[in-house]
Amino acid sequence: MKSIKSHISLLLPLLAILFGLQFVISFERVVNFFEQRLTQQYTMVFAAQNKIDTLKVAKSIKQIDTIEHIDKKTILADFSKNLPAELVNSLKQDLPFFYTVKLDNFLGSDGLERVTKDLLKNSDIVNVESFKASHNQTYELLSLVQLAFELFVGILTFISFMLVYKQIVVWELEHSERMQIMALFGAPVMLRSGVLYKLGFVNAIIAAVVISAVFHYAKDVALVTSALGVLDIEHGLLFKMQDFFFMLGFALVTVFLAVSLVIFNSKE
Amino acid sequence: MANVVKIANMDLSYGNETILQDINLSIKKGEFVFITGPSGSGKSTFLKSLYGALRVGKGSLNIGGMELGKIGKRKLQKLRRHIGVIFQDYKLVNEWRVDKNVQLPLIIAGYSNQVLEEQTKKLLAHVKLSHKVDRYPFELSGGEQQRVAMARALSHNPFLILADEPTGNLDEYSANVVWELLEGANAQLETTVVVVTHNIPTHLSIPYRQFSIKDGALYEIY
Repeated sequence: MKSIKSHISLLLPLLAILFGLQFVISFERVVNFFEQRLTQQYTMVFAAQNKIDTLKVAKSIKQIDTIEHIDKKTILADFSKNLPAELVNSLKQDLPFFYTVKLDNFLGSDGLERVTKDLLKNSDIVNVESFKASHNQTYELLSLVQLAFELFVGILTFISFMLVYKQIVVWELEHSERMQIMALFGAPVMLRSGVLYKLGFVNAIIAAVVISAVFHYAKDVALVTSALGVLDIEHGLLFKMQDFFFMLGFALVTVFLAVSLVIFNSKE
Repeated sequence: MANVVKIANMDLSYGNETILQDINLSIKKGEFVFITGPSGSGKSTFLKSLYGALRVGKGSLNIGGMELGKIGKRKLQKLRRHIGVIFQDYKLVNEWRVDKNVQLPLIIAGYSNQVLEEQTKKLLAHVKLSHKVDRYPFELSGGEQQRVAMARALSHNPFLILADEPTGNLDEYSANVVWELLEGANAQLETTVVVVTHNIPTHLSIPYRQFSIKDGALYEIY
């Protein structure tokens, strides 16, 4: 009974820490995917007096992924049906050169302004349209969700670490006398603390397996798949096999540090 | 005969307070030594220094050829594996059964399970506790606990036994068993024994030396 209680009192905070950690990993992955898609869908447009070297301009501004020229024929396609050919030709000559810009990551309003300013430094570019208003709404919403989530995980992690610390103090009380007696008879550190390491490592493995199983199962739950489906996000992003090894490593390191702290504090 | 304990001009302190000053003592292999003195005189402090629980402030303390002031943790661990210590408060591991408590020094030394079992059987018979092999220390009387501690101290045939008031809390029967065992180890195995006590038993059949600690100094009485 005492042994089960000892296991659970370490297992629970470990589960909470790993749950928070896996949540961060999954959430970051989903947000990155979402940002990437928004970035792909988002386009800036600029107009230039003369034809510009798209590769050169794209290279000079690091946030720009590609610049593509919009053919004037495409712009005038709708007008050319109703207007006389001479007028269309005249318009074609007077029209500036239009280009679309794709960014390589998801920028906020400051970032967009910086790109706009950098583009306008080119004397041929006369106007830049970044469609900032609608883009910013999405960006701010995403940032707010991210902040709220990070706060939640931060509090959860803090409470969990406090619980691990409490368990360390309990361990110190439970095991320090035994370890002191063993030390009096010349027991090496590993023999004295072997029980604690074993207890900790078993709990770390259990916690990593449980959380992995929960997330592995959760990614296939109808509620989750439909919610992610609405956003057109692949549900497989929620959990990948490498996450298990990362969590296991994290849990083992946490437990190793906790046990080492007990041993370090144990007087000989 | 070789000195098992050799102390020269040793000072012992707790923090800034010097407890013992300028201690000089040599104990040869196979000697039985009593350290007496009034309460609070520093007897237990002195004994602690002999198993390295208290570091030497000044001077030299040599146990079994090892200079305790100069050796590191690992060498101290190795030295302790050849010393048997008995405490007034027994210092048994409460979560372990009697047999595992007795086996502790043998487990540390890395003996096989067969040796552990044979030695435990022999020692528990010796301290007349064979019938309590599967009990936990908290299920035993004080006298029985001290006999378990005695069996533990003797289990690995140490070259030196250090006992701090070993019979201080015991009934007459258990106290007699403890003295018999200490005498036996000394007489038959030539184990050096150092006992800190208030009262030296009158019925000892072996020769012994007696020292007293008073006012921070060690005097040879007998």
